[in-house]
Amino acid sequence: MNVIKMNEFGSTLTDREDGKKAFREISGRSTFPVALDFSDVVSLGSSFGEEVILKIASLQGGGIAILNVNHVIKISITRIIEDTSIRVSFTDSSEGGKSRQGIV
Amino acid sequence: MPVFDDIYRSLKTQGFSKDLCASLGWTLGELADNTATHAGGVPCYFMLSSTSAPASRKFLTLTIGDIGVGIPAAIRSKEKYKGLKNYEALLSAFKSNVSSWGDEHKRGKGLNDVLAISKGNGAWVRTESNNMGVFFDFRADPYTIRPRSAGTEQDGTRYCMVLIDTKLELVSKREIDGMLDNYLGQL
Repeated sequence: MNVIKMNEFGSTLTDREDGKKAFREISGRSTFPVALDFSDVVSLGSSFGEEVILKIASLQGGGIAILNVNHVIKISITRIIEDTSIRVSFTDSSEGGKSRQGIV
Repeated sequence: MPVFDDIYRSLKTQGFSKDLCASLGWTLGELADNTATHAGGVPCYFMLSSTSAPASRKFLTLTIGDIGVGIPAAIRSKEKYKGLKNYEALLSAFKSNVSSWGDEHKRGKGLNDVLAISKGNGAWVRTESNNMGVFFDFRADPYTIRPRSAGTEQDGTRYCMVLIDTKLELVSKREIDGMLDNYLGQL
């Protein structure tokens, strides 16, 4: 699976137009399915997230893998997919090297 | 945005947590995006101030404003909401999927996010627009929502919000919408 490093779009991802640009870029160069890696991304807003996460998940049968999110971004994504049929699997690595998985 | 990176660096130097930085970036980004989208691209300004005391939690106060048309005016410009009173329009703007844009755009999440962050943080947020204001206070249970007079008749919208450096709790869109529906129903 292709992994997209979301920090290439910045550390604070909140602008809707930026989200549209990111989606165009990702869809233009990637083979789906892709996973989104949020390492070194500090914040994610609904506006950006809707334009990227929901659209990518819709192209992948309604599911998407999200890697290495911080606690607040996990909350943001949980809110983004609320009332949708999108399934998100969260995988991250603690400092101890353990991985935690959750599917929302 | 480079400005956020500078802010995060400064906050981390002062001992603020990653959670706090993340909540701030999310909040500031949504409110700035609102200004760019709904206020006609007018300039917006923001101020941050930090407070901490020995053996006490750290606080961040964010103030952001613009000189656009104002929330009630923008919401009521839409046919669907023109029958609302100004205060109702101001409150409704915080509901998910309420926007001055058409429903087909599926916008209107940003202010719902701001309230969810404030509630999840156990803090407060005050909004003023079109010569009126509202104060959402989540510091205690039960929370309170109270009308406030605006500090100025100046056009535009102003937010003042406190973020407490503590773990953010998840608050759903449904919960915020329900809270607002309950309050609007009592008006």
